[in-house]
Amino acid sequence: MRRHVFPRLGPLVAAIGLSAVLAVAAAVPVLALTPTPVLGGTPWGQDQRVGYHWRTAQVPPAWLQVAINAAAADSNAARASRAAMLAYDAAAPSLISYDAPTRCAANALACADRSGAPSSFTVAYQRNGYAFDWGTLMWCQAYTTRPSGCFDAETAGLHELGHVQDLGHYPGSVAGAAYLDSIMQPVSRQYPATGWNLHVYGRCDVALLQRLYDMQTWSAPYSTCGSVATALTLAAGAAGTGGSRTFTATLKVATNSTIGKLSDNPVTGRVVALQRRASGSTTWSAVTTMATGPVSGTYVSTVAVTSKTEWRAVFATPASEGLIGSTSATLSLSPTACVGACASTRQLAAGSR
Amino acid sequence: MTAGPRPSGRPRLAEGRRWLPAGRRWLPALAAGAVTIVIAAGCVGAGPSGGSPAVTAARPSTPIATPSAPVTPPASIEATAAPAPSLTRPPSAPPDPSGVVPTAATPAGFPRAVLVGGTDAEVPATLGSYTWDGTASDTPWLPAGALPTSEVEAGAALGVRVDGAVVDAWAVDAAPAADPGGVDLAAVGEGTGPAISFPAPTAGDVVILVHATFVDGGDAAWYWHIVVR
Repeated sequence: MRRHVFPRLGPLVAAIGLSAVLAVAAAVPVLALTPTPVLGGTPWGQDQRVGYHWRTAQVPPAWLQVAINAAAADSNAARASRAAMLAYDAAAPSLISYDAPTRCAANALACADRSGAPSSFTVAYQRNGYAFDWGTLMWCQAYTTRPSGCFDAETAGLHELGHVQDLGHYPGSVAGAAYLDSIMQPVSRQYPATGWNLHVYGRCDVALLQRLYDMQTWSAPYSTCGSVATALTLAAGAAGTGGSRTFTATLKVATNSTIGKLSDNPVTGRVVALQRRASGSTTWSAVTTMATGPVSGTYVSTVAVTSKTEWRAVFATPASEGLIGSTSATLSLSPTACVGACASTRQLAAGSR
Repeated sequence: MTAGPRPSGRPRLAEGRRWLPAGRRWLPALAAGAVTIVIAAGCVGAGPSGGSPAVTAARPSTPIATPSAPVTPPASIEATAAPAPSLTRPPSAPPDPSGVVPTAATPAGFPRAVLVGGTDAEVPATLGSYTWDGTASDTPWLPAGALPTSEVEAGAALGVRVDGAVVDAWAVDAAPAADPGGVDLAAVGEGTGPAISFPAPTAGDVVILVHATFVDGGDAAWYWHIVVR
């Protein structure tokens, strides 16, 4: 959850303004974490390889080229999705420049234009030493000893490449620890302020990249920024020898038009428990943890049904990712005598409730 | 993969409302927040830790000068390999006696914002970072020295009028004018919908940042330097 904070309040505040601060902390509304907004335009293709090279006559200096290429590698490593893969390519149409002062808007240390996506983009960096109204621009990498107040060119590069990927600016207050949930903040921080050298996407950036470009695998973790509902179903096969039945649970992301490509995804490699209770009982007991099934998003267990019982599958909300747990409908099963005669598998939908 | 609808145009992938149910009960908090800004302004300006590590507010051609920053930026790597790094305006930029940095204009049709409720009828914003129509522009915190100063009455009800876009959500942050890097930020308020309003501090000299996102996509970070009289 995002909360307003009042950092670095000094002893004077502690003595005089504590009540006011506490009043604010108690009364200011609380924001739920949400994915970074879309910037706009056409997304790249999934895993599309997008190259860039240096604009003629505005070639970044060597130290900046290194930082930009490092930012592209950061983006590739931290995308946690099938977002575009970025890399230097001398033949690519996209351009990065170390710019004349007329390419970016006033006050901007860097800017990006993705209106050419999914074919090309441009990024421009302002020159080291450029005198703005707000101060003299210093890129940290331009100095052998990093000066206070410099900007990390790799962080700025990842921010601009985030725009290239279709990430907008993160909304809400830029005060406090929530700054670290996204590298797409509307205020760039300088050395040595917290967050001055972020080299990974924040979790809310990843959340949008996953919605735009989908997961890399069905077992990959979903971003903890935002919550993605799941749906779990349970079916039982025909009775076999000794009354055994094979239970098959299917876990997927719930159908939801607001989560882009994540809707209906199979969810593999999670912990799905099979539970049972005697008919009429209100207490469930664990039977087993279901094994990964042959089809993505499925989990299977074979268990003997020796009395009239009710069954369900449970996927508990994990602490380490942004999926919401779910529970299947209940199956009511009775022992059957048709050993060997019940060859066909059937779903016992009639027994569910 | 799956068949969820793809965004087009300026898509939004919101998961419903961003606000929790109590989201509208912020007015008492804003009043208290204004008090906090005043306190923070006095504290930061006077305390030994008030020196900001951030870059200074400096007009073009003005050397950096803050308690914690060097008076002259250190020589860059480029400076060791090439003659005389430009610490003022680059050679490609013609001298501008007005002091205004010549840069590309903001995109056509970009929304404009004015502060209302101060002693001046309307105070235009200074634009920081924004996204709009497939483009993005990124700035640091804009310090008081880079902004026109306007006066407001203590505790006045301030508002921001936006022309050219419908605001979806907004947030207001403030920092003492003596904090050029916006390090000692305080959140003043947040809201949804087009009506942006917040109370002026009861005293002090602060920089206000209003960050707004637009219903049809895009966002803007707008700054004002206000002095309470």
